Amino acid sequence: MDNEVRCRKISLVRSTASGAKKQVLRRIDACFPAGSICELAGPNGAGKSTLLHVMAGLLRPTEGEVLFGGMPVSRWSAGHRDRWRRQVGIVFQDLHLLEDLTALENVMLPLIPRGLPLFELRQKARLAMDRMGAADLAGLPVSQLSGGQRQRIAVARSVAEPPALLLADEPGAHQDSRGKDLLRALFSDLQQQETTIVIAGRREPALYGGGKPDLSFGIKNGELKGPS
Amino acid sequence: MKGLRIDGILLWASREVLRRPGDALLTGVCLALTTAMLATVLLLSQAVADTAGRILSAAPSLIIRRINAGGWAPMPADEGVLRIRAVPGVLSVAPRIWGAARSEKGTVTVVGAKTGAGFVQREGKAIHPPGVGQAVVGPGIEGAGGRIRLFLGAADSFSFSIFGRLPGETAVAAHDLVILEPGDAARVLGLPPGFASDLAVDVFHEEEAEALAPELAEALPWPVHITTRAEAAKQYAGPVLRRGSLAAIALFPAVSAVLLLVVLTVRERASRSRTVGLFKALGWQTADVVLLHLLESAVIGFPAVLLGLAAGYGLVFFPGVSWPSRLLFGWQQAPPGISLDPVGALAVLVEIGALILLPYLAAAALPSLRASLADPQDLLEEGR
Repeated sequence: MDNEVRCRKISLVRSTASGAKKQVLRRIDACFPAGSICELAGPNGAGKSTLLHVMAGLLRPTEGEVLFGGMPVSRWSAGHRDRWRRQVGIVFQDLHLLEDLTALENVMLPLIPRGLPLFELRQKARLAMDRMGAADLAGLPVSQLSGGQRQRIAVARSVAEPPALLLADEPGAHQDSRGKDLLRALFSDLQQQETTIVIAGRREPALYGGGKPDLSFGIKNGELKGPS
Repeated sequence: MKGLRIDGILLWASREVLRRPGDALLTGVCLALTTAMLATVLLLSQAVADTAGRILSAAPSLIIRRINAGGWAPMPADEGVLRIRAVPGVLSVAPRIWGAARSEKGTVTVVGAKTGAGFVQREGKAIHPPGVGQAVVGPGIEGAGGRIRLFLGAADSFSFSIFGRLPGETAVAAHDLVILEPGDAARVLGLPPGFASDLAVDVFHEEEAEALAPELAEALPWPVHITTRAEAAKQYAGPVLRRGSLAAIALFPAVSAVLLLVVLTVRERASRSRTVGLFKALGWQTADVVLLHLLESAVIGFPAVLLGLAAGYGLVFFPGVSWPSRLLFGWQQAPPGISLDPVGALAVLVEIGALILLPYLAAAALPSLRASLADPQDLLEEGR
């Protein structure tokens, strides 16, 4: 299956806390080829995270559409999008881990409704943690982990089932050089499997083999520039 | 695959319960207590109605009593039998001797029974009707030193040796019964020789019983009151239903507790929108989330309701527990042995399920169903 993601004239208007309308994304046109690692860079509040959420099917664009493998996934009904979202791995900027659960349980979370036997479920979760060098954290409650460890658990959760599309919001923000090496290796492995990877955040050459992504986009005030 | 999906979600539902052990325990205790209260009332009412229905089904089709200006009056037995037997449609007629008498422990019902074959089988053993000076007593009658003393008016007293005891399962009808030889019974009740308290009539066709009543009344030279089996059943069920209804009103706090539990569950589940959003972002479908919430409630609700049902059952059927029947039906002595028909028991289970489990499970499922209509990111931000 073709894992290409295409954003076609995507605009998004959201309500602020005061009730005012704010245009967060403006007619974004972009193509993220299958099996590529793409960077989405820009200042705070530029719309990087929001664009990832729209691409993941967590938000519906006000205008335009997201195509995945040529299919207009953003136009699908909630039920179809829920099913399609199983192919998407996402690392949130604020991680969204369940603090009172153990690291292993957090990683198991996306696997639970997939109908796997318990041993296989645990095995997959442990494998994902192992890839992120976090196997020894399995039994610890997330609340006891450091920022970098938590981030690695969030990344492990996003790849517990190898995704067709991985959307990572500042995955290297709290990582030391070893953590970045693990991320680079993970992205490279996923790329081999034709996973399309979009990484939002500051420019982090250490995350890419060869020091740079396949494509680099810039975003500012909801407008996308690039690729370069 | 479907089974495995439920297994995984059931496992996670159990984990979710353990994340909030205090809440789960409190909810479970509340559900169990409410169920126990409701089950006690419903099981007791149903069991009394079932047992009474079973016993009344063996009663005569019609009962004829002579009346006068002062109330009931004895009737000449032989003349009454002859006249009633002559009415077409009558299968059999038997004079009965019975009435209320005073004993040392309170009022009892005295019945005269003819000597002859055994009339009650218990564990293969026949209890024979009593001879002169003997008594067979109901399960609620206590006799000192194997004897019972009965009084007629203020002066005359009669003493009988207790020769047999009726089995516990007859207690709804025979709780305070003292069965005597007919002559003894007549003396205790002050009936002149050859007189009966009433006539028990069976008819060829049960459905004709009501239509036969005027002909039977016309056949006798005295004013009479005739009661059909259906009327007797209504008379019996009336007080039970009335008291059962009063008890149900007294259960208003229990129903309020269920409502409160439902409201709290709705609020608690609605407050989990961030978690629902996260689950959906991680690939859970609406059905998975609803199933999770349902199973989570079921993990708490089913054991709690089962425990409550067991407690209610124990309070109604465990021998020697008397306070529920005293409270609900005003019985002054140890409660008679009562039993449920399978259909009656099923009806009670369905009623309890409808009253407690359904609202509780719906309260768990509806907020997650509502939440699933929103975009996952909106839910994630809502929970902040």
